[in-house]
Amino acid sequence: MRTSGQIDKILLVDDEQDIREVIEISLSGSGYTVFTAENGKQALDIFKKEKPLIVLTDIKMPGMSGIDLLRKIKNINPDTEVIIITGHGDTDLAIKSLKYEAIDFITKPISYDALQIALKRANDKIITRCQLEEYTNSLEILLREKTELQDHLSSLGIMIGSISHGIKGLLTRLDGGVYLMESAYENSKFDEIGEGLSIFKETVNRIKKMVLDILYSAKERKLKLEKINVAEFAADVAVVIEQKIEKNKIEFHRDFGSDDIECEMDAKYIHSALINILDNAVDACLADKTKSSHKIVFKVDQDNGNLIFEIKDSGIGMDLKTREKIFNLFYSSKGSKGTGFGLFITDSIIKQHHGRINLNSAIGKGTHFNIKIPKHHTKKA
Amino acid sequence: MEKKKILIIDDDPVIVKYLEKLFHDNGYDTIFAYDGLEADSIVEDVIPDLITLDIEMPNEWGPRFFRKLTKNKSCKEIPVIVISGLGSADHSIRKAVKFFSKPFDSDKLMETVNKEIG
Ligand SMILES: Nc1ncnc2c1ncn2[C@@H]1O[C@H](COP(=O)(O)OP(=O)(O)OP(=O)(O)O)[C@@H](O)[C@H]1O
Ligand SMILES: [Mg+2]
Repeated sequence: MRTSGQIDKILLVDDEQDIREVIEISLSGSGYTVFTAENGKQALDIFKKEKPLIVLTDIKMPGMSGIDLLRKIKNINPDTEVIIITGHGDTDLAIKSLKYEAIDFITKPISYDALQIALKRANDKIITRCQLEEYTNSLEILLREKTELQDHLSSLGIMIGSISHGIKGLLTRLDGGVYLMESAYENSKFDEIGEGLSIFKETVNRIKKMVLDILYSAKERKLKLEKINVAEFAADVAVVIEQKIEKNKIEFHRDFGSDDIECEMDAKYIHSALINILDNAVDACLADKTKSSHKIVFKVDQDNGNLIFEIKDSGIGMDLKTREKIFNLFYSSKGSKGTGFGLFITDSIIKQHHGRINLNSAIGKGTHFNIKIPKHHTKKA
Repeated sequence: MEKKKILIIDDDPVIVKYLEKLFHDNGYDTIFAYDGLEADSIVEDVIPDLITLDIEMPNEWGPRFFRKLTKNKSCKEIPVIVISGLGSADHSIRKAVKFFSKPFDSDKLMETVNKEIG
């Protein structure tokens, strides 16, 4: 439990020694570790040192009054529950104490039952607060998971487009789960929080599975081949990544060759294939702190019947071992920031276009991707 | 004053639950149907003040329900908000007052609902 105090400690404040003794015996009998103080000043010292979550204080004391002590304690740790002990006829004072958020008050002479009821109220409130804290924590974790998921999904580009209906429904369910939790939380309806939470968890799992399914079925998807103006297409790709590059103060060089190159391809697919490589290039630059500036080159070229995309970065580069693994599904060196989807998808898209990917890379020098696809595809019979 | 009633049509029970809660929290009453056919029989008895409509549903899908609704004298003035993962504003049912793509922004949805019937 994450609380900023000690739930089994009680601070008891009263200027009359016999009252302190009687209550102390009763509280110790209920399993509390009891600290006693005979005035407000002493009480504050003990409070700061022992951090009890429950304070029991007399309202009328010489020096600092019970109400003043209450206000000071609430100021130091608002999560503390304060029970006020009042004398006969102190009704006005008692009501004033509630205004300053005392949890309860009991009147002298103190009955065992009244004390137990007040303690139970205080404890219930403390436990409720702990639960709320726990729910808030798991809500935060889940929301982060949702955002990461959405980011990953959107970086997959086309894949999302084609299965978007299902995914969109599931994302809406996630929102629903969060909404139910938040709404229940605000109204302190804990059973309903659990309901939202389980919807959320179940949906996260379904999306994860769905993403895997998409990946495996991606290879089987039919290409939609169209004649594309390459310079325009490349400019569209650049626009998507430009912001990320510029935001990170990386130099960006574009060279899209002549205006009239045309190529038959599935533009959406090639688009995301290139974005994945460009994304990695940015990451590689950001990961390399040894250089004072970085540069990414995105170039289009052609040679007999083939279209060539070149993407160069001045980032961290890779060793041979890494180079061999980068196209594997789930291979990533980026911990929770990477899924290892990117190049796996790029690779399968380029293969579907009967193309090839070559790369040169060296640690500390940077990486150079070279993607070649035939400009025309003869229709298969 | 009696609360305004919203008919929710969506085949996903979780999304129905979400919309119900959202509308209740904003002071509206709700009824729901999991597809167009169910919704057909509901509007025979109850005239809702507003309808949220998904497009892709089993049995009878959104656009067909919408067409029937607009032919029904007592229902044709009811504002319909399309909330769907399918298509975009221009592909959607043209006479709907608004299209929300899933996942939708709940604040914006409530804004539209309040504007229509609030
Ligand atoms: N330009 C590059 N420079 C250095 N390392 C790279 C470069 N491109 C890819 N890599 C290496 O290849 C790994 C796999 O890349 P891939 O894009 O498939 O996954 P990822 O970037 O880690 O995750 P995501 O799927 O989210 O993009 C990377 O984690 C990184 O180690
Ligand atoms: Mg990547």
